[in-house]
Amino acid sequence: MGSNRTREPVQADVPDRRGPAREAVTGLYQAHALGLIRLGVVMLGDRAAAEDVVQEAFCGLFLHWARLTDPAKALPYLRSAVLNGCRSARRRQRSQHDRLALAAGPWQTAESAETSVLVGEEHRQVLAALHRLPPRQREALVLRFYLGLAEPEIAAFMGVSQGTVKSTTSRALAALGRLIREAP
Amino acid sequence: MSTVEDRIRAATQAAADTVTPGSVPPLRLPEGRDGARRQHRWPLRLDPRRWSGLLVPVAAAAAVAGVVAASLAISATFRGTARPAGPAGQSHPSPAQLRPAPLAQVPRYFAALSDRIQEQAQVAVVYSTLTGQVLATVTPPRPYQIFTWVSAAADDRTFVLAAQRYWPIASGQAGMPAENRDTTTPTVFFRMTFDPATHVARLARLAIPETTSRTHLAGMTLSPDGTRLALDLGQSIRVVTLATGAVRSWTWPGGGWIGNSKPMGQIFSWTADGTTLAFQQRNGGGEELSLAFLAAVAGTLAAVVLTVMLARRYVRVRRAHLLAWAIAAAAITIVLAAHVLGAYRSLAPGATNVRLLDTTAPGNSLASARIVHTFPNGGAFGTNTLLTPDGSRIVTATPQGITEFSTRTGQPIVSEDQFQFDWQRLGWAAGPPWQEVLWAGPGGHALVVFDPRGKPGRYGPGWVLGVLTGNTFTPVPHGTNDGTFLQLTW
Repeated sequence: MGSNRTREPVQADVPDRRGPAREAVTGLYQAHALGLIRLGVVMLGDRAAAEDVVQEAFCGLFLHWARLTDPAKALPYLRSAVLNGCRSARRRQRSQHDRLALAAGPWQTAESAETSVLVGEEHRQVLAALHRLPPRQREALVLRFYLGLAEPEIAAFMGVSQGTVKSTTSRALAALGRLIREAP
Repeated sequence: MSTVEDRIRAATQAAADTVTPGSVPPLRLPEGRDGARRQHRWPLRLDPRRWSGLLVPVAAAAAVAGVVAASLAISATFRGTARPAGPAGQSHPSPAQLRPAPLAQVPRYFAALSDRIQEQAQVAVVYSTLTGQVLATVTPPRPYQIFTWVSAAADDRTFVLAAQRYWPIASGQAGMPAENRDTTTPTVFFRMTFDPATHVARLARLAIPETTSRTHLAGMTLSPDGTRLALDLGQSIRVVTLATGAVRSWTWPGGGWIGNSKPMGQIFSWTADGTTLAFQQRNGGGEELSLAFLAAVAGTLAAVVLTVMLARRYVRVRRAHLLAWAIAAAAITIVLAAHVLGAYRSLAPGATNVRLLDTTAPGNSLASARIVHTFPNGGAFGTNTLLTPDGSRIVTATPQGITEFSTRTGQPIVSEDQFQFDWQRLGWAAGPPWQEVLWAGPGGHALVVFDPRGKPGRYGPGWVLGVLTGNTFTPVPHGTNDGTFLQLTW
């Protein structure tokens, strides 16, 4: 009878899907963490912030692993997550700099001491100019010239059309050249 | 010389190369489903400045919520706990058999202005409450033609009458001097003393300056001891000491009016000790003020949006902080508006406040009179209110019947004598004629009401005078109003 039904433990039938997820995400981390952290450093000029962004991206992937239908899309997801995280971190950096009213440029203020020593003066000038660009222009240049992505891939990452990528990249290059020339 | 593109490649690669393969930190995955951010962000690299911008508006919103909650709590404290309205018998526990007969619980004599001549009263009549018989009739001393108001003291035999010149315009009388027929001539006052032994009512002129015309006099109420007369001048109240002619005035600083909605009874009501005067104060305005209020709210919200846009344009503030500020400001505006409309509904346009004025206190503003109850604008309310002589209750007619409100909490205590006239019997679609309270005894245990329970006439219900005691209606003999009563007083 219905009244004699016993309540079964529901959790007993649910497989533990976290184990494979942990292994998979850890494997992805071992393979791509270096490149993503480097991407974060290029975008932010701050090693610690870049590590934070990458860490968050992998945590997000881990938490949403069950919804990932195609494991091949994990890396594009991580790149997008890192780029989004860099945008957020960059906004935090900018507001922090605004409050501090530092006279130095973004790259000089954002980079860690270690990075500052390792990156030469010439590169630092380019990076400083790069970080003075609007976020979209900076992203377009980094994706194009650091990651070496083609325009369709950049358009997919940025969520814009290829034409927008072209025009954004063009304007970014012009602006960057002007900033480099204006730099003392 | 390398191109800009080459320099970007070299610089970004140099920056990337600062991260060596062996320096990658280990992955820290959360143990729980929501542990990732806490494990990573908290408390290792918490930037308090990142959160300070959010904390301020959140704190502001929380402060507003706290103020509103505290206000409501205080309001609830002062209002007390509402008791549901119920049958009168539940709130009057005294056994009915210990009480005197219903008609004996009200003053023995009452006066009425009647005999309409173009809606003007030519005579004042003294009736017996027990028998309904006419005991005395008086007419205004010449040259005064009409009585305009009547009010009784608590001794059931002393009344004050207001009189005025008046001349009915009959056919062929056009062109007569205006002062003989209009309502702008000054009002004079007479004390009428009824002698139960001889059934004679005598008039004596009162020494009140003739400064008030009927146009400006909206009503009057005699104090229980018969020594002071409260005059309603629409926007002010004037209390005249009859023995000396001394006058004290209180003025209402806002719009609307002062008085009572349908004063077939009395325009005011006094406490038994003659110190406190109850009156209705209806707020002015209406749709215009409501629109102005909505416009103010909309303007405030627009100002918030504009400020946010300008701040976003000229000040480097994080978008999340701006959004938080905007939400907090909008929430504050909306909450305050709702609070004003709710908790301070006595200020709402068209609302009717029942106020108690302490006539012994200093000051001359009616705004100092305490609000004991508020009837919202557009609510099912449109009749007069009376204060019981002990000052404990406000009595009025509502769709729930005769309802008594506590003057301490403002909450309804009891509703009784619910009577819904069936207008459809007369072919009317709607129009509930509420009862009207004409007199209230101590504690509201006995009331004189005008009730539509009589035999319906051609154009409406039959109105009957009666005494309401413990949800029992006892008609006053011969108390059916055939349209001759203009005003009544006990």
